[in-house]
Amino acid sequence: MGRGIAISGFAGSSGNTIQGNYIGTDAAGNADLGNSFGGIDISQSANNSIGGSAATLGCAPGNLISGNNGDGINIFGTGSTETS
Amino acid sequence: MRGNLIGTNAAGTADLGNTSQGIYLNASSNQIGGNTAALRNIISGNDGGGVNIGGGSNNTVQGNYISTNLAGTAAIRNPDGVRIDTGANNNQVGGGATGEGNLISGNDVSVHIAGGNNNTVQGNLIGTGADGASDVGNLEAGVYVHEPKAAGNTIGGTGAGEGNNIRFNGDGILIPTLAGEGGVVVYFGATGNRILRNSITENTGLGIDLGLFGADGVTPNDPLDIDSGFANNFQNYPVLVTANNAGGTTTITGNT
Repeated sequence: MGRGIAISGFAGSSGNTIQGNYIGTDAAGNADLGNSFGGIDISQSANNSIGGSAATLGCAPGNLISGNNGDGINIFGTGSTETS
Repeated sequence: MRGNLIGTNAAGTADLGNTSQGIYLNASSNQIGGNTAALRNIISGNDGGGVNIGGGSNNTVQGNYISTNLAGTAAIRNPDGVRIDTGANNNQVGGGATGEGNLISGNDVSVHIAGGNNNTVQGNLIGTGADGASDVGNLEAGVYVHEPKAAGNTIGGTGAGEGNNIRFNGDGILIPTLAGEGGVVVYFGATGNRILRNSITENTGLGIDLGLFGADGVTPNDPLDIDSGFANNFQNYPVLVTANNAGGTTTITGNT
C-alpha cells in the first residue's frame, strides 16, 4: 500500500469530502494496519473537508486516521487553502 | 478537519499513532477543529508533532484535544503538541471566545514556536486535564519560543479569555537544565514576543524564563535594560516594592 488517500490539484481536484473512514487501522479501529506513507495527502487542492461535526468523535462524519507510516494528514502547497 | 481521531484507537483511549505528524500543514487558511465538542479533533499518539505548521499563514487550530485521550484526562503523547516553524506566520492556536481554546497537555512541549512570526496562542489549557485543574503536565516546558526569526508572537492577550492556563510542566526533564523547565521559555534570540495575562503556576522552573539556549533560570536585571539581541532583549523583570490595600483598592508599586 502507498498513501491512504491522495488528492492533488494538479489533476484539477478540489472540493472533496472525506468522511466516515478508518484510514490506517483494522475494521475495529484497534490495530495498526497503516499505509506505508501518510493517511491523507492533499497537494495544491482547495476547499476540501475532512470529517465534520461528529456526535461521536472518529465516527461518521469524522474519520479515524491512525497507524500510518507518515503524517496522518498532510496539506501542502499555496493552492491548498480552506480545508476544514 | 473536524471530528476526527488522529493517532489513537477508535475509542480514543490508546496510542495507535501515525509515525510522523498528526497533521502537517505547509499551506494557508485551513481550519483544524472548531468551537464545539463535535468539531473537536483528538490528535494524540503521533511520533512527530500533533499539529505541525511548517509554513503558511492564517490557519486556525481551535477546540482540539492534543496529546490527551478522548476524555481529556490522561496523556497520549505527541512529542510537540503544536509546532510552528520558520515561514509559518499569522496562525492562530486557540482563541478568547468560548470553545476556541485547545487542550494541549501531556507532551514534551505543548506549543513549540521554532521560528514563526506573529502567531497567537490564546485561551488554551497547557499541562492540565480538560477540567483545567488536574495534572497532565508536559515533560518539558509549556511553551517554547526560540530562534532569531521567532518574532512578534503573542502568548495570551489582553481580552477576556485570551490568557492561557499553563500548569504542571517540567515534570520529567528530558534535557536537564540548571533551572528546571518553565511555563513559557523564550530563548536563542527570539525577540518581540508578548506574554500577556496568562495564569502560569506549578511548573518546575520559572513562570517565564528568558534564556540563552533554553531554560536557565533568572536573568539578572541590568541598569536601563540596555542588553539586546537576546531572548526578548532580556527585558528586565519587574521588582515589586510595596503593596497596600486601602478602601478596597490594592496599589502595587515597583520598578524594572
